[in-house]
Amino acid sequence: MKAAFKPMFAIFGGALGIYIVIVLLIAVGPAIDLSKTPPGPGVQPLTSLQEEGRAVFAGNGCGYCHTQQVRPLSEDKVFGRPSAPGDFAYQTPELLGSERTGPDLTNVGNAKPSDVWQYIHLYDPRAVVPQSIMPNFKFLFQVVATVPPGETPVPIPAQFAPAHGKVIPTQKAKALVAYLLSLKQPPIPGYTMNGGMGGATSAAPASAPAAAPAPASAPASASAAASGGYQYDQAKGKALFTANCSACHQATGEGIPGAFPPLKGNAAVDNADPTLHLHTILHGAHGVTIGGVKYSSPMPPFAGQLTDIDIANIANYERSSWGNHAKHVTPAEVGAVRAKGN
Amino acid sequence: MPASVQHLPATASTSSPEDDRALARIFSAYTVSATLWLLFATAVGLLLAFKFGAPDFWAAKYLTFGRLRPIHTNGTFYGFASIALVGAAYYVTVRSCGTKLYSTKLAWIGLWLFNIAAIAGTIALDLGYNWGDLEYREWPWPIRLVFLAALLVTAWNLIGTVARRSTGDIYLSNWYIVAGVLWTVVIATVGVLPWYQYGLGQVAISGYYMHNAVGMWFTPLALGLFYYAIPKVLNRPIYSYALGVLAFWTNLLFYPLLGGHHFLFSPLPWWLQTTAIVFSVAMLVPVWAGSANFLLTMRGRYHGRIESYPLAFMFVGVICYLFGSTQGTVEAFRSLQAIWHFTSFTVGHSHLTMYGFVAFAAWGAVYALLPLATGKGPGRLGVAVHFWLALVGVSIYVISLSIGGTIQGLDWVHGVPFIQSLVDMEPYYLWRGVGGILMFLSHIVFAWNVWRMTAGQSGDAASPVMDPSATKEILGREVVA
Amino acid sequence: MNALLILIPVSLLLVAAAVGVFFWAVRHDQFEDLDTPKVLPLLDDPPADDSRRGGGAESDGNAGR
Repeated sequence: MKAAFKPMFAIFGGALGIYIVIVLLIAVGPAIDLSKTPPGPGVQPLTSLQEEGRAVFAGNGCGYCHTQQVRPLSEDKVFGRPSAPGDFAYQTPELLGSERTGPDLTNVGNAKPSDVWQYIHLYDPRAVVPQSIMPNFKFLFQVVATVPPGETPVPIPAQFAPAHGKVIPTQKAKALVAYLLSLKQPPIPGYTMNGGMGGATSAAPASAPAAAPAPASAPASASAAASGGYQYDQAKGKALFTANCSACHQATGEGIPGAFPPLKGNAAVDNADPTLHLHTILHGAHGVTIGGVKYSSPMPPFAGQLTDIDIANIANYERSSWGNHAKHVTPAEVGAVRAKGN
Repeated sequence: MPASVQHLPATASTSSPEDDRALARIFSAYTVSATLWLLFATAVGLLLAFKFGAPDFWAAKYLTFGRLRPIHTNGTFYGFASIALVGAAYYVTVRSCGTKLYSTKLAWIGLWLFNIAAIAGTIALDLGYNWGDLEYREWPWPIRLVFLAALLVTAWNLIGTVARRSTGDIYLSNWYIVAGVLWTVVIATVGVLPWYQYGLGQVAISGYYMHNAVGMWFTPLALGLFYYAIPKVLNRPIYSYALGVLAFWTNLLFYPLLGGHHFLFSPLPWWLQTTAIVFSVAMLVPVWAGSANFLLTMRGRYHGRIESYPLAFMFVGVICYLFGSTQGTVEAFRSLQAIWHFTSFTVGHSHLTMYGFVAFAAWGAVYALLPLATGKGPGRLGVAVHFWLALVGVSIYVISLSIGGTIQGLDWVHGVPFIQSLVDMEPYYLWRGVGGILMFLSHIVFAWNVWRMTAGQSGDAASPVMDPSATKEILGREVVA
Repeated sequence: MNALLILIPVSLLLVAAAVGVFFWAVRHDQFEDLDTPKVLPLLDDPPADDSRRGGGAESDGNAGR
């Protein structure tokens, strides 16, 4: 019987022993080391509400369609600067993800800073993104006949809203949105901040890490070159609008009542003087009143990620669609408004 | 005709008829249990595929996509594949050691533990307990400890069986099987201990776990089954024993290092990612050695692959092992990962390997060996329908997602608005659903066949062992059968 | 670059170990008989009790059944 054990030690013992050594070298050792990675500049731990939201995020499997890692590749530039090791110091469990059925969320707090948008999108994604295949998360909301004091109803567009009653977020929904809005990459000197979920851009925005001056200068030089020969490109304007603007303002330009203002018939858009229109695209807006309606949810600024040519194309698309007939703008005019600052 | 075959072991096994019946019951029970998990977990998978086209369908809390998805992956991995492979492995180990199972009681305990873990895990996921969406590592840790206990019980039982073998040598299948269980004990342990899993450290463990779970658990079990079942049905020995030994040790030396390739372009250290890529190429050695070994064993038996469905299943398993693993090597290059990472291409790859290789290997082993254990065969039509539905289904599945995923990746490279990549995937998601329907239907047929091989009435399929007279030729002397 | 300073010596060590193991194996007759082990699956005798078989399964003198 003893002779039976000798080959067993050699084969099974050897296989197990070699494996354990390899695992220590390739997994456990590096993991011990990497677990000590200090947080990067500006990386903060989450508040308890945000932590609660993170648990809702993972518990409902959001990570199976949405990654949270930006790769140092040009195709990832739309999601932000490349993720750095220090970004993950407070991210346990890790949510880097393995599939992008939907977009990366590393910077969604910067790209979609409007909590109203987030609530509408969670309640029914197709209310703001018609081609989305994300499931609805109506179970994170309640439909009530009267809104309790202290609660704010979510302005769901009529065709997606329940027949009766108002939609209010549950605690879990609030926590989840608090978490999503916390997802912002702190800038790292030398990297570029391209926060936002845009898409096609006609010229690369300030993206070369080597030349990292204030974001305005690279787009400004692009516009200086372009002012001589600019021609409005309707296709590009529409594509840029689709990628950057339509999630809130909708493809119809009608916005969402109570949440995002319409651009159709908008006094700032359909106006011979483009200053306010261009200023809003460049620097965003918060708490403005349009047509008697106050819009409290913020619009993000696009000065850092779109060039003057891009913004001119978008503005001209908006100024000539849905019945708007305003005079077209040039990149030089965009540059002039940009130069005046916020 | 090896004249050098010396010291032929005594052909009398030390097991009694009761032992054989007990083993048949255990093999049957594991197979039935695995079949029920297959039906459940792939029904969930089919529902998931449907939701890609109809996202609001059954979107309530307990049926939301994000909770069903890990139920599908964990259910197929730890409910179907693990239980089916272990059941067949018990049979292979006992038979190739010429003895009886060390402990039938431990085998039953193991089956209970596997099932308790899988049931508890499924419920936990449905209730929303998913710590971090960590691929096939989502069960809460107490439940993963139950799975670890099942592994330990299995390891003890298998090692005990090998220790009391009546054959002098330890047949190669048992190297793969026992080592696979021991390696997975390590994987389960490393994956659950918390002390080195913070932030980026956990990312390193995720990469390790994702790759080692498939490479050091399912792969060696499936290969171990091949090394026994293919010679068994063909009634001829494996082409080259030495090549199998080479594949064993090179698998061990290379496979564990590949974890980093799941996180290329992430902030994991450059050397960890590059090591993974280098050894992904080195994996061509054990993969091609092993595949060549199996295919050469089947040489000259083309007619057998069509007439003998157990062999056909295993043939497809070998081809998908070869193709899927080589695809994995190619995918690991940075230039290609840049396009395919995060796309549906990877989902195609995982089904080519986990379904085309592992599932087909499990089915081949069950169809080849369960009738020998229980004395009951499936119906010939039933096995044929299962085979062709599954093969056509997985082919449609893999091809549609591979093409679609490539388009997805190229869309992103070309800077197209993200939503466009989703719109472009629509027809491929649809075809994937078509493939999935065929795959699911084949599982129903499989369940029917399992019924016939265990509790029901035996069917009309011929014995899985082909050409029995060949045995005498090969060994050069008469074998007392 | 620093990684290479470690990886190259480690690789050389591994190769030396592999060569050493190979010579150990040859010296300990590991390669003497490569034929006996591989016929093992063909030699395990059939489950002893054939009366368990349900009706209908065809067979004719199958070894291993």
